[in-house]
Amino acid sequence: MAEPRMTASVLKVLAALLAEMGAQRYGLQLMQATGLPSGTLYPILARLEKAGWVESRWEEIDPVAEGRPSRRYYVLTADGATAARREVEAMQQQMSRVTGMPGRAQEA
Amino acid sequence: MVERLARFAVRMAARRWPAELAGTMREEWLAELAYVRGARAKLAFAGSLLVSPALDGPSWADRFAGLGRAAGVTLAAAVVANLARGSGVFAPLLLVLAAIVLAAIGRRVRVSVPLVGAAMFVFLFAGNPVPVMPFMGAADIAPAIVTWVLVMTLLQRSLRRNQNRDEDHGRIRGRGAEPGGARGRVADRERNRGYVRTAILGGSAAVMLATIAGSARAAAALGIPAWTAPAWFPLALLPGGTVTFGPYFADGSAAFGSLQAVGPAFHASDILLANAAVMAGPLLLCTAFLLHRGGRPGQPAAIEHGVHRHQPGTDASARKSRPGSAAVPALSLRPLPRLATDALARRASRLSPRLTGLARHAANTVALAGRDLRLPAGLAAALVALAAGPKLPASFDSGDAALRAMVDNSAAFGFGFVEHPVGLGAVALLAAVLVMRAVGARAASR
Repeated sequence: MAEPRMTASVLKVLAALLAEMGAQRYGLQLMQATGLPSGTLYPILARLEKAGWVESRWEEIDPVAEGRPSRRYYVLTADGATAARREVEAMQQQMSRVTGMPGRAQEA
Repeated sequence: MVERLARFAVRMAARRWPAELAGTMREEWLAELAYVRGARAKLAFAGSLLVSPALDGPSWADRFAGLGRAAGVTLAAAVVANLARGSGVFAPLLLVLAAIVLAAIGRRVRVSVPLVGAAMFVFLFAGNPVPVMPFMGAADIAPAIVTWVLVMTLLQRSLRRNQNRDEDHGRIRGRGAEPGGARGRVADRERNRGYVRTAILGGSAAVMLATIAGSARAAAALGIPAWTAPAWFPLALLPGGTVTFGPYFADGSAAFGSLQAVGPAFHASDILLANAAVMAGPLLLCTAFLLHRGGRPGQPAAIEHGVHRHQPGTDASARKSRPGSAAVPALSLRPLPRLATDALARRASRLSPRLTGLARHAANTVALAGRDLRLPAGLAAALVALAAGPKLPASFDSGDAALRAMVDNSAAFGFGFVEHPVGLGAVALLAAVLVMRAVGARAASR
């Protein structure tokens, strides 16, 4: 599978998903965490899922009983987490070269 | 109300996504929309999805390129229509010839109907100031363009549906099994004939209805009976005075809204038809350009974004699985072309492996030379546009001049915007960009 093209927006999404490993996030949460509009976020999630970096699942509830629609949750895969860490670190190193500040080993 | 609007926008946005994802995305977005609080936030959520590029859809750069192509097509159609109409009695013949030529060019360029409609509206509105063209305001142009875009969109969908159906029938009967065979050729010819017939009839209907919609206000103001409406489009293409109807102004004085003019005696139809002709000529040419592109069975591909490429989800089968999709149509795209470098290298390698490197080097040089030509070609195009722009017919300098031109139906599509340095600069920039992209595309496909 081809790797997704890294842009600032993609890195924001990866960083948000990395922030709490294993946590499942829905679209609105990721929009709030990244500050990205819906029209930017969802194509990125779709590309990451296509690349195998992210997987999604639907919330298993009865919408009628709960009185609310079920949401779709996203989580980084093991491969995705490795790749995301690598990309975020690479970006941090690049930034540290530009700013002269030492880059952290790993983004929280 | 806001909730309903937002849900509608979300559904529309999902339809632009690839067929295999559209349903899932729609459900997900509708669910998330239910959790969004506040009318503004709901509209922002839905609006962002609606206007942003879809997955595998055209990017913002592609959209701007599409707008440039639409503006280029519209400008070219207006210039050609003016040239044809300037030929007097030969005007109808030249317009038909120009339509055929533009239709042939249209086979290779992908342009969206709504974008051409938008460009046409802007050019008509900016190029023909209302005071001298009394019925060329937004109230006249907007109904014409909206009607044209609607009819053309429906027509394109109908043609696509027919093509998909024909392909299915061909597969079922096995007619398409041998594309080069006699039965396949006969089937292709039948389909082509059907396509051309529908395109010509539908395209004529689109321009005719647009002309009626764009001239209805003028007809009401001039006292022209509505039953003459179907004749407005064909008569608008003929020289002035060929057929006249409506009230007669014997003293040659006109006072329509802000237009106060004195000229030769005229019929109300002279004003109506001349006004309609300014819109109908370019619309006719744009129609020919748009209807020929890529939709016919067995036709070559459209060139998009300067290079040949196949976009996922835009082939006929994918499109068919998304009924009613509002995306830009793309039909019968041919396979990716082989680059000259690869083709030459392959041929050379058959003769001798030693020639492979030499052939690749030579082909690369040719391709690079083509790319290097982009800047000079663009500069030349810009200079030509800057030199020719001021010679394009601008707006009339007086009501009297406008009235005389309308009476003999020689009023041209106005390029009033080139009178301003910004407008002229924009036209030059557009010409440069389009030529550079065309030269680049040629080099890439060689």
